[in-house]
Amino acid sequence: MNFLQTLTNGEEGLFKSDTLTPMQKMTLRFVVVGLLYYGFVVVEGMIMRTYQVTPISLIPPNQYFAILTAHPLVGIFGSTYSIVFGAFLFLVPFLMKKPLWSIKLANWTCGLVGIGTFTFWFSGFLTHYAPLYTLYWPLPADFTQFSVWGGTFFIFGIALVMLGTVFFVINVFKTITYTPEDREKQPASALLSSALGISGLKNLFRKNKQEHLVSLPVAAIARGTVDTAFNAIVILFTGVLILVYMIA
Amino acid sequence: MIDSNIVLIGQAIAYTLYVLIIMILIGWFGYNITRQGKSNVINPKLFYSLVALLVLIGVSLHIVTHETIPWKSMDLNRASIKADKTFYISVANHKFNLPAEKMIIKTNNKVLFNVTSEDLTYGFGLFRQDNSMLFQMQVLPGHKNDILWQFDRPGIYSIRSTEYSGPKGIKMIEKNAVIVTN
Repeated sequence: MNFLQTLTNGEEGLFKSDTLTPMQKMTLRFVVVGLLYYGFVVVEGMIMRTYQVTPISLIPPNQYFAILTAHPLVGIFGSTYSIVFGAFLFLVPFLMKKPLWSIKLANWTCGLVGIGTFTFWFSGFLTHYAPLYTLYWPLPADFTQFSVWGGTFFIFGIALVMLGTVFFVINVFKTITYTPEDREKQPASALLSSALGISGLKNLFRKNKQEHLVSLPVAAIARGTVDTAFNAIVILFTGVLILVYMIA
Repeated sequence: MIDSNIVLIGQAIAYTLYVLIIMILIGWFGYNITRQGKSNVINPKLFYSLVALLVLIGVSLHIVTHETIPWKSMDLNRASIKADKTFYISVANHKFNLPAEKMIIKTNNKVLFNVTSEDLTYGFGLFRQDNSMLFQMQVLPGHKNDILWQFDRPGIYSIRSTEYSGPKGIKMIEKNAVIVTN
């Protein structure tokens, strides 16, 4: 069995993709996308290290700065977001013993994060768009140094990732708050309150403590998801503003 | 005014010691609650007293080191201080436009650097001959950017942009631009 066969079918053909459930397939997609971009980041990191020791003739300075700009974003969004989103979209339903609210939406998250990351990375690679992640205005729109198309596709790629992130946030909170049809109805507001730690906070001042409806790991994921939601809103809003400025 | 290098070394030592104390406390706590036998319980009063002490040391450290920052008092009293000299510098197209005359300063003079940007966000930093930084500020386009500094010893300084302004910005170095004499 050659390397490619082992990679796709597992050791001695033990990996049988047709036996996987939709949840397993979805989770595995996130892992594959995350690891692929982790590989990207590792290679880019080594290139940048080498370049700092001694400039590489094959890589012009503009290309180096383009790598410097895309590298952390590929690491954060393409790799870390993918792996963490995949794990959490698997964990939340598993820990709450109910199905994920929407596997379709989860697959959209995976696709948008994967395609969005490739879009901004490839845009930087081709056009050398390099305002760095600091985005000191008006550097992202400095078209004396960068191509307007490079910038447009770079920001468009980031916007796709953020859209995928919004889908992830919706999926996590919907999974936490909905009640499957075959179960006794639990109020969504009470579940949300427990997940966000509001009921826990109220318990500190109550004589009759209320039971936590959501387990601690799910509550931790929910609170982390709130941060992700804020990030997505701010980055998406800023991205759209820059995009409008570029196109206008 | 204390040299910023000394402040940096002093703060590095103080904060390293502080972190080591925190690590020792956490290590002691971890060891005690995981060891075998009856004595694996820590008195909560003792633990929280130590945490409170660490918070107190941490806050005190901030207050004390805040007082050692050499430019603090001058910054707070900016309105009442008159600069001995003012230099107007503009930045455009990744180039510092320095005053026509060489920037020569007498020791202990208070100097105001007024820097404007005509296009991008840049940095304005003065660097010693050994490439260490004396001070820096951000230079935003469309904003007033100035810094008041008292030079307490002779020296020759270069000016560099300390903010990323695109690939063209890496060459923004003006060697031996500021000279401080006795």
